Amino acid sequence: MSNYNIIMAEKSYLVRLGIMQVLEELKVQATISECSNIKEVKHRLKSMDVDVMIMNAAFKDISASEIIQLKSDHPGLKVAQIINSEEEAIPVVDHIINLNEDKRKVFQKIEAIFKSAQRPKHEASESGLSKREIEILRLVARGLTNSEIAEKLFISTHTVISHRKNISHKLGIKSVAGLTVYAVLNNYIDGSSIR
Amino acid sequence: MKKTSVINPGMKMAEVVHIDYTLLPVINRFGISLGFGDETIEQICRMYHINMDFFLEILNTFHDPDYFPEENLKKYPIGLLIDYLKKTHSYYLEVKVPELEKLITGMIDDPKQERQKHKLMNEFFAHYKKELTDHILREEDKVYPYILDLEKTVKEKNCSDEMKKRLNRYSIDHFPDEHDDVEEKLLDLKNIIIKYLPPPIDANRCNAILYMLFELEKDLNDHARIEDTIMVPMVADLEKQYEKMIKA
Repeated sequence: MSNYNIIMAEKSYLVRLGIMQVLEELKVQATISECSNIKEVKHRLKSMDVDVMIMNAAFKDISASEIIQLKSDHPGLKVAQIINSEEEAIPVVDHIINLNEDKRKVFQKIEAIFKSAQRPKHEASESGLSKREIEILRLVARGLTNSEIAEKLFISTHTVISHRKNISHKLGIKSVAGLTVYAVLNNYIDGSSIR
Repeated sequence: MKKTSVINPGMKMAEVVHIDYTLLPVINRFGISLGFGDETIEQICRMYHINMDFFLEILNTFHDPDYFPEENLKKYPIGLLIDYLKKTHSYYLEVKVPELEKLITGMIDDPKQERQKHKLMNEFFAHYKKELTDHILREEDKVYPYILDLEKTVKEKNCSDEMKKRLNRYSIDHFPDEHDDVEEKLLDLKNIIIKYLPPPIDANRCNAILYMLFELEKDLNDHARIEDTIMVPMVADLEKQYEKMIKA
């Protein structure tokens, strides 16, 4: 079984320990990082590919719109929510675990979370950047803004942004300065053409 | 799950370092130097005239990401915290950044042959350094003076019109989420070195740079957490007291 990256946004030590125990019994191999606020969650999501986020209903400052945003920024991320009672459930999460459920149900649900989280195994990053992405990378590295790129390539700014997201995700480099270094190191652009 | 122990007054200082050596720079920032002998935290704090509640709060927050200092809040003046944060800043700017800069400048074995690579890395680091410096200066020039003014006003229960004007210019609600850019560049730098820097490179030197980047990253995150979990709530509380005072 592959190794999952999990974010655990649950303040209760006992609940965390319980979930770890279940994962162990289900033989789910996972690297777990604990986060205590939304800022930390975002930081983790930035620095690694996270498959599953398990969060408590009582988790500070998280809202439905926040979750929608997280999911659109990180496609493939599954969000599971732990609740005490039905009214705490946030409708946009992928899975809901009720603390009052019995062992069989809890096991079933947690297993389902990890089944749903099986990611297409890095096909993207292995094949590297697409032709279009390289084209865009070149322009980004030359210092063009998103709208300048859109105009030049006859596409919408929205498309440029989504290409850029993919580029950054594949390379693990987000800043323009960083992308420029990458482009020069790989001879996509000539170092002297940077403005 | 990592087992974390809470650091307490009766623990020996030497023991604390054995438990978590990443606390060393934190301990240094309080002016405590090595050679602890068998002294406990309590004894050392007395010796160095350090507010122990505050010292423990900082150590524990650094040591355990799950540590929430809520209960101990307010046992010390916020000026102590600001002093500490400033010391951390100068540790970044005066110790860590120059160390990294030196390593990065010397990273390429043969700068003549690999001029471009050399230049690229130096320039990227210069970018990072500028962003970090700007960020720190903003906090020190704008946020911290505001906090100190606020505390003084609340403590003295007296507010001149001049001060009112100054205090109205800022609120901790705006405490910006701008650690982000600085963070981003640090991650990028790590990935460039780990994934994309073509040989020939000095492997030992690159490792040293990476160790240092990982360490700096952890320290910066812990620093941000101290701001978020200790400073922001303290200031929010002061703001409430100030509001009340103004209304009365």
